[in-house]
Amino acid sequence: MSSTDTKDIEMEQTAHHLDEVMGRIAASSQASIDKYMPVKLAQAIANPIFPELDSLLRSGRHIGIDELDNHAFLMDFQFELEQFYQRYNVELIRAPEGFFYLRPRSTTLIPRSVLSELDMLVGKVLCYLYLSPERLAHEGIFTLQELFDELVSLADESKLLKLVNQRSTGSDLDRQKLFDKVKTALNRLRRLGMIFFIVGNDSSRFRINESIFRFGADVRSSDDAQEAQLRLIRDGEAIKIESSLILDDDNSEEQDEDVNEEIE
Amino acid sequence: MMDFSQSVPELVSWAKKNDFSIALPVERLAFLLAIAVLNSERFDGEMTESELIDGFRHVSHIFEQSEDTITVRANNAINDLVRQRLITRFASEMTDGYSIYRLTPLGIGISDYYIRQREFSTLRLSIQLSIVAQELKRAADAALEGGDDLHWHRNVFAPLKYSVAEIFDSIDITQRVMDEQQADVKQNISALLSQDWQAAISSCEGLLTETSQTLRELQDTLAAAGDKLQASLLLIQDATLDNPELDKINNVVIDLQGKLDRIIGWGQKAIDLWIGYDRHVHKFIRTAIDLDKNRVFSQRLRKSIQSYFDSPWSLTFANAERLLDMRDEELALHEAEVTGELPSELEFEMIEEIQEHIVAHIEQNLLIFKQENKPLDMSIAIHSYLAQFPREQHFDIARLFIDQAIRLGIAESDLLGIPAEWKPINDYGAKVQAHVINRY
Repeated sequence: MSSTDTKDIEMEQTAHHLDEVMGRIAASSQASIDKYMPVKLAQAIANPIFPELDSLLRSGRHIGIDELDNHAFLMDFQFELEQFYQRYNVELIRAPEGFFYLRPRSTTLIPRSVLSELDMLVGKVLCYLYLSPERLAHEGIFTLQELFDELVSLADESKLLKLVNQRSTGSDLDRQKLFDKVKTALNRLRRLGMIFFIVGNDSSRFRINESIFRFGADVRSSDDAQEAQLRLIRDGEAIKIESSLILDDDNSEEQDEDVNEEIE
Repeated sequence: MMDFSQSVPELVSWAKKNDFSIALPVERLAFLLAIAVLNSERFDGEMTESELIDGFRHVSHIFEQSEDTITVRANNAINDLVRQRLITRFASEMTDGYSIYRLTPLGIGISDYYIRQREFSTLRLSIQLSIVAQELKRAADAALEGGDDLHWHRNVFAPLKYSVAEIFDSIDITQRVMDEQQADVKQNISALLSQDWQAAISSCEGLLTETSQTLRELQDTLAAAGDKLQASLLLIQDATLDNPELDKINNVVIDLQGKLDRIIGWGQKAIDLWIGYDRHVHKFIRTAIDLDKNRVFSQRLRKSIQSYFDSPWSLTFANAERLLDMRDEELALHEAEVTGELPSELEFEMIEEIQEHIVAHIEQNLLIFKQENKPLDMSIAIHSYLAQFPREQHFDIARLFIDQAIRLGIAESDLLGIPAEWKPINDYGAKVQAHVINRY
């Protein structure tokens, strides 16, 4: 990535030149090469960063400014990669806060998932914590317990417990289960690149990334959360949760969990 | 820091033996501080009881305690401080039987911590450093000169051990005070931001730069003096190198070098940490404050968490299927749902449950002895009972059997004090030593 200006210009020139040549070949050749890959896209794909970054994006990872190399790469090849992913019916989005992620449309060729209700709530609480002055106290490092306490105090606890056990009476066991679920949710958000654990796989201490702002999208610009929600759904950024969907999601979630435990 | 020549257990038992303990609630501490201040105004550093009571009156007044009981409470407070060895009491004839009081080193240490060390100054540090540099230089010169044992001891060892080491320690304390100050600044910044988001930014920046500046000055002073100190220490070390009798000095030098490294290293580390914090605050201002100028977003977010279940929605994300290792599937096969139910023979049983089962069985077998009042010869009973079990279980079952049998009754011969004979209980050589039980 650290090429000098002159090199960039040279590359640009060769790229143009190559494009022209390819165009002529396409026009004259009998073989039907009517579509060919733009040179800059080829350069992007040939870059050693691409395979890993591509896999990360496809697995739902958000790439923030802190990931210097990956982010710089995406900035450099944003336009080409947008074209690239469009062919999969997926949009490469660069959020106002600067992070990148893939937004699959309904016709996507890359499988897509939705977050569970608890994931959403945890995400929203994390977003709230990100904005709170408390973040200064320990240089932005939060603990799982702090997150859990904040969640329980902000959201309706009885409804939270219902997520764990439909007939919950608020027993300690249910609370413990909820705590474990929050931990799982946190783990998922880590895989999406929205938080970072400070020490390896130890989920007890973590730092929050700006991509957490996706969770605040419904109240970001105006008071009318309903309208914002509709807009998000239209854009394919989000979906509305209906009861049948929750069930589906729960299933896939459990599978997901199993798989992850084994991988990690 | 001091050299701790005692081991941990030694120190712990020493503290335990002497019953050391310090408890200073806020009034007592305030009283101690009052004494320290009054004391510093005295030439002789001694105080009479009435002076202490005067001091206590101030404290009592500020804490709004009743005036009536003041003498009693003052007395209690004084006795308390004496007991905790914060002040020493002297009674002598020279003072006509009146007691006089002096602060102990402990009392001075505590009050100093609160009174004098509050203020950090680079001036103080540079003076400390220049004194230490002079001392070291003199010691180094003396070391180069060389001489007899007394010369080494008086001109090299003593200054190093007592003067230089102590100044190093006091620099160390100064640095620890700085640690505390940084923590205070951090707290202030958090408090400022919690109060007024926007207005806090400039005052935060002021606090940040001020602290960075102090830290940097401190580090510059340290770095400038550090080389010189290091050089002097090396000179002394060179001079003592060939003389095995000067090991003592060499040890002190190594010790001092460690301290010096630590002091300088700490300075650098403090700066690094502070830079990290500084960057963090700026990033926070850039991300959180700029994104949420009047904290409306935060408020709305809070509300949206509370009302999330009214109309839940969810974010989508790409979730390409991951390529799994074949081993993962193999692992999944080991799970209970996949392998189905275990045959009953393989099912896990708690050892206690099995034992209870056996015990019940043994009890059944033994009942007949008690009912018919037959004498119970342990070896014959166990022998016939064990015959139905495989050999490897004999030991455990015999144990359970004996436990049950002795609950039934006692043997008369037991009371006679004759040791019982060893008798075989199975065909493999196991024996038991027991009298025939015949009293139920």
